[in-house]
Amino acid sequence: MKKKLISLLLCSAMVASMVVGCGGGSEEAAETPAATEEAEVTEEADGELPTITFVHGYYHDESEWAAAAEMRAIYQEFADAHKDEFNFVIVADESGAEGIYNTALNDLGAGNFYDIADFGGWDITPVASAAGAIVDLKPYLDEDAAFKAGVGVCYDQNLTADGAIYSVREQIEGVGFWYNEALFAEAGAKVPSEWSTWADFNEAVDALVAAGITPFGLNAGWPTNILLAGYSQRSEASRAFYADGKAVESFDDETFKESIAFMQENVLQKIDAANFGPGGDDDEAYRTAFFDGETAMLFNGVWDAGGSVDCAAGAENIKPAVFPTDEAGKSAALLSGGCGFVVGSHLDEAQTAAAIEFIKYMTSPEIAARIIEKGIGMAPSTEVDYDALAEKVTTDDAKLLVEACRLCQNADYQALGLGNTFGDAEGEIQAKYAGLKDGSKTVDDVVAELNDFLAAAE
Amino acid sequence: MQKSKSKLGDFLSSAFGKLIMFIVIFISLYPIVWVFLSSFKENPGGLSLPDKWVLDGYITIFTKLNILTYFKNSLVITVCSTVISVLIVSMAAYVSARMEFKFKGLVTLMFSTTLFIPAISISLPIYQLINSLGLKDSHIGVIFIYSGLGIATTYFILRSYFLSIPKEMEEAARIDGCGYVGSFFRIIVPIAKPGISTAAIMAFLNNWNEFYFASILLKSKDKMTLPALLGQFTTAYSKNLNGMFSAIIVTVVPTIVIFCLLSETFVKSLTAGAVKG
Amino acid sequence: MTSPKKNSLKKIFTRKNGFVLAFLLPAIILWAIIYAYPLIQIFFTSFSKWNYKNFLNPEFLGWENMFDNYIKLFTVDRNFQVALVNSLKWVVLTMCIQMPFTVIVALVLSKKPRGWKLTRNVFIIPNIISTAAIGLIFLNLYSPSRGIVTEICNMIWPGSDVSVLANPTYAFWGVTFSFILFGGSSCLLLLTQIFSIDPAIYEAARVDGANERQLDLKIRLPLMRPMIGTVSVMAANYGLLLYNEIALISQGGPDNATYSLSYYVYKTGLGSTKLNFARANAAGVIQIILGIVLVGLINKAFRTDEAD
Repeated sequence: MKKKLISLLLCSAMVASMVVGCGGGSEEAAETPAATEEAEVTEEADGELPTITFVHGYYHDESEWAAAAEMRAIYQEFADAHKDEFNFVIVADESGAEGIYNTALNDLGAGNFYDIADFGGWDITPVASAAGAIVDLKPYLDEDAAFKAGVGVCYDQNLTADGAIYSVREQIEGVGFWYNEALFAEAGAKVPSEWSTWADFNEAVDALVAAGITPFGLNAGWPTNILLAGYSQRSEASRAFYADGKAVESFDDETFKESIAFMQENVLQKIDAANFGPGGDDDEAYRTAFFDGETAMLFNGVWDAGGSVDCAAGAENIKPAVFPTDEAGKSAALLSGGCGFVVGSHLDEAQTAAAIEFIKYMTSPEIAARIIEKGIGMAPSTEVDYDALAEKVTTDDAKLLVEACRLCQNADYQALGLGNTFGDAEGEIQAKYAGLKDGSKTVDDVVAELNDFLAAAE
Repeated sequence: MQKSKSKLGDFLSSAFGKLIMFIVIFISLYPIVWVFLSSFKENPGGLSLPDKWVLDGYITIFTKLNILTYFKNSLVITVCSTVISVLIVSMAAYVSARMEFKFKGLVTLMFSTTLFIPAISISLPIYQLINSLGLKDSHIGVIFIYSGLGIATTYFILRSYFLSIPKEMEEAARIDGCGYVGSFFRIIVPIAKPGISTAAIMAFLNNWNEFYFASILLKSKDKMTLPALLGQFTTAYSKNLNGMFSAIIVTVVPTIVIFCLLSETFVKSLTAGAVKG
Repeated sequence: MTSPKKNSLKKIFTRKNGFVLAFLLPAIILWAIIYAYPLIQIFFTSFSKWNYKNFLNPEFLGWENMFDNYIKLFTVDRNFQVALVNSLKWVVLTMCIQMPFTVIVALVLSKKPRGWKLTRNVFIIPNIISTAAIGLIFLNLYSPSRGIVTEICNMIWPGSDVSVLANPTYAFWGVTFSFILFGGSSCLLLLTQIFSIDPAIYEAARVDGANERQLDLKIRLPLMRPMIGTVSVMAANYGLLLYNEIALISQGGPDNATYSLSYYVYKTGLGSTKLNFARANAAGVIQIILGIVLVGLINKAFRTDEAD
């Protein structure tokens, strides 16, 4: 009996010592990074000021990605301008937006959340808002007209069914497509700026194919999704089905079937297997082929104006365009804000005010103009004067970007991208492209399989 | 007649042997050789040799990325976790190989279940644990996790080795006045050195290459390990193909070099540990 | 016996029970923290509703519906079914391709032909480098634009333009061949077993007129059996848990044809906007049970249960 008692005591002592050991180590480890961060900031500023930490994914070296350095400069200017009011600590996450999202998920499970972070398109809001960890930005947007104009399409796009807006963004994915004017001329095809409906697209593709020119490179993912989303804006009925994508209960819809049939017959089966990649982050052959002058169209966002620099296709031949519709003369573009700045609900009043101040700064017309001018991307703001910007910018690729943004902004119909619209189902849709291409799947197969997926996902 | 037939058989079997050896060498080396050659090409890829040998990728890696820091982090984490896990697990393996006690079978079963648990499934609870201990983004946290990850493999290698050591060894030691603890550290550990080094090498290689937990637990650049760096190349640097190919070589070559230098020791200890099992 | 006061620490350690506990405890604590807690969580939450809507508070489904997640897996979840079939295929393939290949290599090398040590060492290289690197290498090898597979296929069948990762069948084999031939460390373990065979046995057989092939079949193979069993367990387990290669090479595609159970667990839980952890954990439980059954079967087949 005694023996047992002693061994019991012994083991509890060991457990205790281990726990103490771990605990001690943890406090130290937890304190050090915080201490260093603070030390950096409080050097000049008063220690009494409220402090908030902003995490972003623009960690890249300037030589790797110049836009990242510019974004960091924009953040730093804000911190410097407000250093008398609050300590704005800027932290770059080395694993990018995806890493920020994953960290946020893991942190949520442990009951924590960022002060403020830029999720760069990774949508944390459903889970974080259900957990009550984030702030509804709608009241702040509603009380300030300039702020609301600055976030542009984000206001409507990110408005949840419960009437809250958990995230806005300083830049959006403006997507139309790019084409190579010289190759169109060679094939004698009508260029996209002259297209009136999708019938013109089909004719142009046929003319290109007849001339031995590959009309476009695609893969089982991004560029093909863009075209599908663009085609889905062709008619009133199709737009209605598409706009309701988040709540879709069945893909058994005439317009969706038409879209899939179009993708199969008029798109995927017009190119050979070599121009159809497997998809995935690494698969960029479709881009390379376009800028090498091998394909006539590239389905990618406005930011790819940068790809035209020194390209073999000749920068002067690269032109931006937006999608036609089936309503003669009307055009459509994809503008997706998605998840950007998200503010934690644990902040006190002063900290929240600082976070809002930062988002207002980031969505102001000055920063919007700078984001476009520097070739970083497209801003959501409805206040941007693209004609003035076109005058102002000097480099060729910046001019292309401004022109592409202007086209997207002025398109008659603007919709979210496929991923923002269908969520997880996007991955399932793109998984079907290969089967559609080689004819092993029919449109009805695809619809049936997608419906099975929806049923499985509840 | 009989003889010539067997000669033909010998010839055939040695030709077959040669063919098999050639295939083995080919399949093991071609991926790495291909990446190595590609890393010097202006546009990596394809079958041909580089027309022009370009060192850009390597220059980027050694100048822009602090590869030595990653290397040092990997080394610190791997060595510490290997030492801890081998020490702790060898104690448990010894007890279960030598002592009679209740629930002995249960202990073995407990450890063996860990073989089938996918890392993905335990990542969320582990992250929460590390977070609540305040060990997020710290080497201590990763060392702690690595110490426990390979528990089953280490346990089985060591247990089978301890089983192969004659019992008389400790009995003699205890008669000489050594306690249980004393006889373990003074008698058994030295005898079991080959088995322990097998387990240590296995643990070292696994921890050195571990990629998943390193990438979720470590956030800052100055703390990352080599495999986590490779993970970054799939996304952030995908446009820098030279960089990616060079990074593969830079992470892989140290392992191969260390292995070549230690290959005899490695093989010896592996065989010593295994035969007894 | 003696009073507790006189019990010095040293004496406690000499006591057998105390010693057993003290030596077992650290490992068990480590196991409990890293595996047991997650294991219990996986098991219990597989009977719950746990997704993005109640991320912080999994809810038990109730006794009547407790198997809902499992039922959904087998009735409506096509991706799970594909993953289950694929994972079983990979287990069978490691048994049918990796094991025989490795055994043949071990038998060839056991005769110590010229270059056997080099071959043995080179064979281990793919096993000792990080799977992250292997994954990246194969991703590039299969790339139509910079890889070599497409180029080689075009030499044999001009104009075929095979894109390995764009075709469901090819992609499955593409993933398979990124790991299945790499049996280097298994081969090493087998070799050591062969070398530990008493040479006297061969001599006796040779006197009886046995040739090398007969020695292989009648002596080496049977004597290698326990080690083949051990190595099979390791290989089958690798096939069952396959994840890194898929995450890096095919990402489950095309058309979800290369899902594995581990990849399904990721895609359904952390990798989905729905964060359906409950379903993912149900799949995890099935995977663990499969693993235990598999080891039982292999151990039975090779009768390697206990060395002692």
